Amino acid sequence: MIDPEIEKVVSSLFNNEISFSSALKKLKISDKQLQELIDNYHWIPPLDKIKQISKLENDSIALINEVIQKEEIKTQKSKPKCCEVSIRINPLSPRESDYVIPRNFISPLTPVIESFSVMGNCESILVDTQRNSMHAHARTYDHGFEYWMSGRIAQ
Amino acid sequence: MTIKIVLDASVLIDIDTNRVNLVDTFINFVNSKKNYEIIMSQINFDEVANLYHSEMKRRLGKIDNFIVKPLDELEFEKFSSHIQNDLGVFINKADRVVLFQGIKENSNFIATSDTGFFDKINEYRTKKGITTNGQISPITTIGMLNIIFKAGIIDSSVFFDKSLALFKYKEIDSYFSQVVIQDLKGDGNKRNETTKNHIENLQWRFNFYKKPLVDEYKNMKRLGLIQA
Repeated sequence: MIDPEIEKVVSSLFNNEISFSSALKKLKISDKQLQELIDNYHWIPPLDKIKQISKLENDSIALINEVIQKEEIKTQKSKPKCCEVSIRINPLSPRESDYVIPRNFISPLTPVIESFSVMGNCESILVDTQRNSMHAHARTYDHGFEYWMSGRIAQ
Repeated sequence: MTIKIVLDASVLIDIDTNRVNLVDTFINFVNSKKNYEIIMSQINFDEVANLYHSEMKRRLGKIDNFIVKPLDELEFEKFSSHIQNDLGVFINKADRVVLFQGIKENSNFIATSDTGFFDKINEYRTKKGITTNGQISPITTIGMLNIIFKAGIIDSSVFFDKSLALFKYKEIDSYFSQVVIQDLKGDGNKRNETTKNHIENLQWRFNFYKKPLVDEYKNMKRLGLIQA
């Protein structure tokens, strides 16, 4: 446990209120001893700094959105433009089922699926952004039929 | 482009707590996103105690883009002397190692959950005149989670859930244990004033967690993934 008086001086040093030499004078210790105190000190920013830090953290999030989004778009460009889209069938109205698009496929460059309809149970849908088309491998389990369907993609 | 992130031990400790439990998510992220390099100094990796985190450390040790680097002692001494004597930036040794590693690796981000260290990275950047975004930019664990989400590893529901879990089980705990108790001394008036300050500051901290979630919700609505 650090002595409160020593703690006060080291904290002032971390807060940029005093210099290293002033800290040495106040504590009357050697350079090496002060360095050891610095090396092991866990600094907690003063309360008025927390607001500032929170604002900076929000800026970092905005930066992440910018940097990662660019990176993900680049990665998407270098990969085949296909992805699996899962579908939730509405048994009462199969033609109005919902699509669930993987999160990593959503970007400003990602086309939005404009319309699509499926009858029966759908196993998977393949979105091909290069050809602006979408195909579903659908299967009606009741009758053992299997067929492909297509949909439109809006850019 | 490879995105380099240097991690402070505090981030790994955060993600490997029972109630937050982001280890599988993090490992999945590092494993499947080879355009990211996650770097730690050996000293910081050793700081993550084997007793509590051995399984996570073992699994991370097997991933080729999770890199643990030995510290170049000589270079580190020069760096320490420079930031203290020339810049007047005082940082404890464990955190200084992380900053040193971040600079040496020319990393895009340095991730830490320690607000004090976060502020010190920013102080260093200011004093060195670093204005480039994505050059040793400090981020917190919530920032790291945001990267994992933006990289498409988790969906929005997990992102929302884990962000709030981090606030509930990590932020409040660390805030009260580190800040409040030592300040709640003195007479009644002083205590009331201190408590008021703490409430206000914790509300600021909550806003930091809330904003990315609300922004994402709006984005999903814009894309038509959520019905109004």
